Amino acid sequence: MNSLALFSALLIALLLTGCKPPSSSILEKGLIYCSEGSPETFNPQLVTSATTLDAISRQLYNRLLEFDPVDGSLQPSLAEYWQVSEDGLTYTFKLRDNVAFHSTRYFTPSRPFNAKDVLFSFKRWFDIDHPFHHIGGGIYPYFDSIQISENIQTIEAVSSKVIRLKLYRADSSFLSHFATDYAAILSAEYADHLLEKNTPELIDMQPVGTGPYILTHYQKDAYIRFKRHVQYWQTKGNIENLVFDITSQSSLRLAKLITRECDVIAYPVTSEMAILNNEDKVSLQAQPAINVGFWAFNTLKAPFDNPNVRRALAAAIDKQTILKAVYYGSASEANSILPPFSWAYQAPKQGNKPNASYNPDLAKRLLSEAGIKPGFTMDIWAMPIERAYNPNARKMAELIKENLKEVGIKVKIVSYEWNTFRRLLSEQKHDSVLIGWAADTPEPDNFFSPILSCASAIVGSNRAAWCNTEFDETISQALTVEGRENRKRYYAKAQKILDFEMPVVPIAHSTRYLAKQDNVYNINFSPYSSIGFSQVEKNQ
Amino acid sequence: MMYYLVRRLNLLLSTLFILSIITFSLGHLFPGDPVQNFSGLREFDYEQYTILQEKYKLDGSYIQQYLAFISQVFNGDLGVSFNSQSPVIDELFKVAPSSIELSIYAMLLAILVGIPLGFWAGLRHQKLIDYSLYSLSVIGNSIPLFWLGLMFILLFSLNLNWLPMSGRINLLYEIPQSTGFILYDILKSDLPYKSQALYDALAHLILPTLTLAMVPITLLLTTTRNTVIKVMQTNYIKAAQTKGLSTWQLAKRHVFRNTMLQVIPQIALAFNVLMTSVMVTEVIFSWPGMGSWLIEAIYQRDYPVIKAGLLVVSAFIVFIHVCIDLLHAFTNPLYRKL
Repeated sequence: MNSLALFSALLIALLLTGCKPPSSSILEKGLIYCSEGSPETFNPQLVTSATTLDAISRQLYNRLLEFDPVDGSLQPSLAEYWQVSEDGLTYTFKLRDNVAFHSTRYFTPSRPFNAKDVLFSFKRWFDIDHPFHHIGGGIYPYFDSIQISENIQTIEAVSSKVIRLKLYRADSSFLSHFATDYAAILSAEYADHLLEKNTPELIDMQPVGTGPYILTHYQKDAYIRFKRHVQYWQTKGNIENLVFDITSQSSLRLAKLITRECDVIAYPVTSEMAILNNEDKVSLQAQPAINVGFWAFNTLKAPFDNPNVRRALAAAIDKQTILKAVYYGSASEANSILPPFSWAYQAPKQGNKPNASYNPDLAKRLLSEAGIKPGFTMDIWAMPIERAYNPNARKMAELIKENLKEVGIKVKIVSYEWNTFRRLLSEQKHDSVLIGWAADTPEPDNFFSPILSCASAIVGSNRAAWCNTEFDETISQALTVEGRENRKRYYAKAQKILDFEMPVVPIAHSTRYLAKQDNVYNINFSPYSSIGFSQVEKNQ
Repeated sequence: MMYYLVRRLNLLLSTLFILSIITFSLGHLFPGDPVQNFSGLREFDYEQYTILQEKYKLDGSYIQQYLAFISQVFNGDLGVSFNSQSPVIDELFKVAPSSIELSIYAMLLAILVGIPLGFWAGLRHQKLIDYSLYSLSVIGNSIPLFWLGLMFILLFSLNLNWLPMSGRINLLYEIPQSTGFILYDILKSDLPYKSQALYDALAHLILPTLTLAMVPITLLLTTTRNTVIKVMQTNYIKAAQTKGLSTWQLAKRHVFRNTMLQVIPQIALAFNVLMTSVMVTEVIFSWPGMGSWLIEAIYQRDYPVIKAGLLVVSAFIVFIHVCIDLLHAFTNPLYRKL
């Protein structure tokens, strides 16, 4: 009881003095990142959720290749260099020497990284007979969705430092998959150790990687603690302890940044930008994200099966107002599905895109030509959740409703709970929908195949249910030809078809934000990957 | 005294019995399969299902089921959390110490501040100090807790930047958890950054403790004040006054003891208020205790946690209440004859 009384007295004394705690080296050499949610697993192969990838992918693991954070080109990582055969079917990777795996309280590796680890990591998702394939559910969402395993003929270790991969058919986007967050390299030795102990499922919960940090403690919905991997093979920053403080409320993250309880915060929302800009010692980093928010028409239903009607509707909406009211100026106007910094993007030429800009007169004319009478009623489905590519679909729908009223079209806004919404959408019950797409690689194909190909119309991820054989052929050819310039030509053609057919109206490419204290530098905050703290520096 | 003790214990046991019945019924009343609600497991095969059904006697009568449930509770088996799939009892041991710690400090603060101020106001009845303290306590009592907490955050954390606004300690300090009472754990550890960590933990404690203590302080202040005024008006005090005793001597010899006898049961009442307020306070200050844990469980429809939380929190309140009642009876012979 005496000590309690002493504490209380201390409490009061502290309040009266209101002084700052003495500085401590543990705080100077540590960094707190306030993230928005708990990771579902500690293996990036098993998820596509950005929250999970941010927490684990770049802190715990490396991949064979990396995307350059500036231009998205492929850079060596665990593979020192690589070769592609002339026919584009054989890929050979030379692996780096002396890369150490994490020594943790649950596992101490006896050897550095080698070809066995690459074989293990790839075979886990690609070979259904692999002992670890079905551990953790047997679903590898990213690799399954691009159907990459169907194209892999063989994968073998030529030596302990060389891996060779053979494909059935050439695919110029193939290499880029090995730089995505999902292509993490796990330890084969650790996997064997777990098999011996008969606890293989621990591989996804107690991770062992080669990344810059080692997981030390995780408490769900509270925090994740990492400590520096002292034998990390790449340049290190001056941070010894990294903590992810899980704070789901965005306003709380903002407040904790202001009180300096967080060094860096995830996803500040656009309406908080003004506060952040006025705050001293806090800076905002912006990065165009590889995404697009669009308005898709159900091309299976009349009159949306008529390209003239779709073009008319596209011309009837004022994208500038939408950018101001929905994105608070944090997005750029989209005139293509591809974001402007994609290498395959081509700026529209004057006169090339007659329907790209707001033109209600043209819209009225096209509508009357298509036989649409004033008073025509249509649905706009607005997705019920916030996404960077569309922070407020409902508000966007309201604005479009006003625009369409001017050209004589009545709009009914429809929304359901997110899971029901997606189900009904796949059943093509909608007239039109406000939705979007965020890509995983800088590859242009990632914007075309999953959302506009005929295959995706069957799977249901093509929200316009649009299938155009010429477009489909063009995007498949773009994958088989060599050289960016050649591929660019095909993608330009594909975009031209989209401009004319207008199954979806691209609306905006949004920006991704990160807010941090001024004394924190070198965060890997790139549009091509999740957040990375390997080289982060903190000054006092 | 013995008779009184038996009566109180009887009250304690019967309340706990009713509580256990309510908690047991929730397993059937919550939506979903009772096997899931009782065990907390989300997925199981047929074999596991039958084992669990047998364990909770779910194919038997309600009485059998209740007995099975109670025996599980006594074995410390409260099922597993839907959300984290870890045993509820483990989670409870993780979060309970931080709530208890916060409540103890707040209660201590309330006693140390509320009662002396109440005395002061009572002894200075109808003087400036009485009016001021009484008005302050009325204001303090009328301010909603969440608003007060937010105002503290706004002033001391966001504007003045004096104190942290969330959590128990800066997460960069890694404190080995032995008892869960953070200050004790820090003092016991041999960490190189012990003093800084202690300072940081104390700084984190100030705002939640102040917020949580506000209502009990005003409650104890008002009760003490009113009791002192009443005691001061009694004949024996008047007699003592005519004997020429100073106010201080009066207070020391007569008023203090007679007032405390009536204030002690109020501490129990204040404790009740505290237990409900601690939930709100924890949410405002992101304090990782039972309040945040239960509210998160409500959001996530985590029935095993809601059930266990209800049982444990209410049993704890009843237990404390009876303890203070007994303490009161022990110190006040008049009371136990009632």
